[in-house]
Amino acid sequence: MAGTDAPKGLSDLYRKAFLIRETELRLLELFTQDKVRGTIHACVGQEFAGLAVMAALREGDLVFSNHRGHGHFIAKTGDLGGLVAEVMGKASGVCGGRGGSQHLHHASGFYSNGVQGGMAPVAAGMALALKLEGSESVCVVFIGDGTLGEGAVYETLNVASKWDLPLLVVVEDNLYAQSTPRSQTLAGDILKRAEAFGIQASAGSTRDPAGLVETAHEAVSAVRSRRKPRLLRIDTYRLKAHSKGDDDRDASEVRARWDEDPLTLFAKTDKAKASAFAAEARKLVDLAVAKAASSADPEPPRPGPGQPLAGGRWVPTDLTCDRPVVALMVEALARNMEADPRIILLGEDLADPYGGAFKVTKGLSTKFPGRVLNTPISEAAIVGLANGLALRGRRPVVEIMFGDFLTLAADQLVNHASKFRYMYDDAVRVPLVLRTPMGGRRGYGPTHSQCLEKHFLGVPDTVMLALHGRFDPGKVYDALFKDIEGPVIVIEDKLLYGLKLTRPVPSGFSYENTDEPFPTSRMRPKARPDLTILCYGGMLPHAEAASERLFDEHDLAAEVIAPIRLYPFDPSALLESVRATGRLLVVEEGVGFAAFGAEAASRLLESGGGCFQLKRAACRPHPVPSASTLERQALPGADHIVKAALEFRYGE
Amino acid sequence: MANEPLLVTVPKENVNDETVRLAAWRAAEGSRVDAGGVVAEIETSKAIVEVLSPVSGHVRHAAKEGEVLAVGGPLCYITAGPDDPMPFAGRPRAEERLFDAAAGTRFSKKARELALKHDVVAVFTGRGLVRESDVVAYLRKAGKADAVCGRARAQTHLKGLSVTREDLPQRKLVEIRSLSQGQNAGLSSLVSVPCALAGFKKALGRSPELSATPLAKVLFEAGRLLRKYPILNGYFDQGQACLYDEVHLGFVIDADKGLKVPVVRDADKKDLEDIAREMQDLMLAYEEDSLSVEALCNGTFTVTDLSAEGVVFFHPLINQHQAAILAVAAPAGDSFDLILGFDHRLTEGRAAARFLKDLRASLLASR
Repeated sequence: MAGTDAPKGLSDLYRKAFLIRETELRLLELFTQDKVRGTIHACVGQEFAGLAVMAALREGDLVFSNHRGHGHFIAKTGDLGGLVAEVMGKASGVCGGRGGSQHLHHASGFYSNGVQGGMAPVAAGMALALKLEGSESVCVVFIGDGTLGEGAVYETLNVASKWDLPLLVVVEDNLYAQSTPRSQTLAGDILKRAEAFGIQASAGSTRDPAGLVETAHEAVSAVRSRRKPRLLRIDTYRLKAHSKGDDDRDASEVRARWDEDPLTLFAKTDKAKASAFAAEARKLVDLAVAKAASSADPEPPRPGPGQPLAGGRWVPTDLTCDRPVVALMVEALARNMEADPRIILLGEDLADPYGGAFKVTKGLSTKFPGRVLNTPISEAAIVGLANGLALRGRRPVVEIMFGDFLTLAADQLVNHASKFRYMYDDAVRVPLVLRTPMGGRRGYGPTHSQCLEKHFLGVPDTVMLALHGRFDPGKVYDALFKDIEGPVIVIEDKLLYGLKLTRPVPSGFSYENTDEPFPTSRMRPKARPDLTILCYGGMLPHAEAASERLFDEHDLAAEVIAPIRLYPFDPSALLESVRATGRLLVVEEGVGFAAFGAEAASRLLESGGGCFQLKRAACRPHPVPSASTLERQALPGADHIVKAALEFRYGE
Repeated sequence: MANEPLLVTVPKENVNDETVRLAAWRAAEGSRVDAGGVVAEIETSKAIVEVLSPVSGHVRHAAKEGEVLAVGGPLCYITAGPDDPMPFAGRPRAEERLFDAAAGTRFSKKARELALKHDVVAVFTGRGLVRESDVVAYLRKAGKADAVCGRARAQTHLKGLSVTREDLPQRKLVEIRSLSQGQNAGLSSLVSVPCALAGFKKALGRSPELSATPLAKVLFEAGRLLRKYPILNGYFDQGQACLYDEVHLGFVIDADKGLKVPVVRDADKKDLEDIAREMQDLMLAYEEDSLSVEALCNGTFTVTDLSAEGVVFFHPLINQHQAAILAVAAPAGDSFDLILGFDHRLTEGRAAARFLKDLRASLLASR
């Protein structure tokens, strides 16, 4: 840290470099001794990149690193023992052994992750948080020349420049993307790439540590004082393999680089000091390794008694609010923004006068200036920014305009938002809300009509909610903001927005819901039910229509169960219904294979639901067609539900 | 302007709107508009938009101000004269009014026909959903049984229990005809599978409540399994399968006081412990000669256990209005037989064997 661990003058910088070098060499040795699992990416030869940048940082500055982050970590935090224990998989590691080499976190402001480029938008989000706080601190994100192949980097450069974010992007150019030489992968010029976004760029080299310290200091100071992003290219060379034993570079090329390595040269010019630094470093590393080796392995959590199926009490549903669902959602967002200044909205076309493609944010940018941010069309960056904001304690609410585009943000959801809390040993939280409309029936065709939620269902630590038109979505949002701990994906439905809660409930049926924050709704027939229909979100109106026809035309009374929380899923309400009917019909608008319905049916069996008959109705396994005749046939509607229900009637 | 009223629909002004709000009428009801004249203002999610009349004529409102209207739905009609008849539905017919009076009640189509025919609509006021079977039950009770018999492929009541009538497939009817020659009643058949004694004892060991009545385990698992095999929980009648909606399991007791078959009701919905307790109560009642008539009625499936007698195989006979009977035999070597006697008119040996294998699996499972 500044003032304590930052190199004092060049001599101290070399001392630190020897420490990083010795640490890396020892970890490589431990790997060959099978004392380190997985793999490690050593920064031997690149030590001065991290050191020079950290030398310019102050307390409160934040660093985002990558797979090759040990040097950055030591330079930023000085926590050698925590690093070594973490890489060796010990409980005393900085992340309790959960993260390992590529996934490090330190309370002083260090975050690393193992997916190329993924941390760039997260760092930008943190920089945005700093900007909103009026802080003087800056964010630094380290990437490599290989990372310049990732689109998320350019989404980040664009938004960081457009929004004047205090972000320094450091590109360690070691000439190789894993094993492939840069000459095969990189077009044009690295600095010009940044300049094309209006970002000033400069360059230094680890061959000249003193000069690099100057260059890095200039870049960091510029970010700090001008509150604008900068890019710093650091020319360097990796003297060891990318990972372990995967070095195909010409041996003579590597040898020549060893000869001009600053630590080799330093040992030639000041032999005594070099030996002293190396000996001191070895001693520290010995100590750290010995301490880690003798410390405890992380203890797997003991299997608890298991969560009892709680369920909830059934209460009549209040369906008296006579306004379209979209109005209830706008009001809920406004109400919660008023109450909680941490809430901030991000997405495409959210601000007035447009107010979002489905008008869910209409009026909010006027009412809350600066808290509704129109973003570029950059889904990965939008969710990455939100991740950074959430790590800093904000409550970002992201809108992805169409659920189909969730795929563009998949890495940020699956490898970042959902992983930070666990892999950083519960030291952070990611209270991120991601809203998106799914579903078809509007003729938008194959890429604007899908229900893709199944691909994001069951991601650990990521709650999934599906809103429907028989429970006030505003109440769902109230409950959500009241108690948000981690990422929550909220599936809205394109036809939901215009619906009203007050539209007539089919006669002979009534609505109830469990008294939970994210309730399960039940449309209950006023007669003994013959079958249970399980659905969620946009399928509910179709299940209602089918229930009417099943009764009128076939004398069958269906009970409809519609949970709002799809994950984690509590099957209690469903269990109760299926126990009474013995027949379960699952209907979902997306493709059914390996989707929610399959999971719900499995959970039912596991919970002792016993024997029941099962049928399913879902989207045909092909893209959603545009023409209405084709779309009606492909997506399950009341016809499909009735047909599937009638299949129950004979025998097995 | 043609004489037919011309429908003006709610225009689609914004690609993401399914509905709009009728902000205001700009032409009063019955007033005259020219082609291109403004008739109304609608509020989309983006803006207020004027709706123009495509022709000249008189505006006839089909919606109220402030109402939310579906895009593509009716907004108004343009008629030649201010008082021309409108293409709205006429007054409800007499029978509609009859059903309106039975408020809070929804009749299925068949229930509605039957209730109308016998003039009993009002009987069901406030009854929620009314099926044909409900109307039939009422008529039977009211002594109009003759009026409702016939060939209705409907739910009828037998022994006071509701059943669902199902048409048997054609192949089954052919099979029945050929197999039935020379027999008056059922086509009883039999399958058995061996069940490992050690495994069953181990499973029993995990449930101390079963020490007095190990058969409870069989009833418990069989009850739940019948949900999956509804054809075994019913009976054959006049070319149709009648499937019971409930699972009431009879179990055979034959000690010193004659053969009796007390019934555990809703066995598919009860816990193992409850079933064991209920069986013990029924056995006690048997001993005390205090079994009620109700306790002996309305079984939908039967379980019989002759293992205590050392019987290693036997042919159990299916009870009246049932499809099958499950028998538990005494161990022979390291296993004992589970036997299913079943009505071959309803199912086949392979399906029956599948039932037994499923049963065996759940008996041995470590639940």
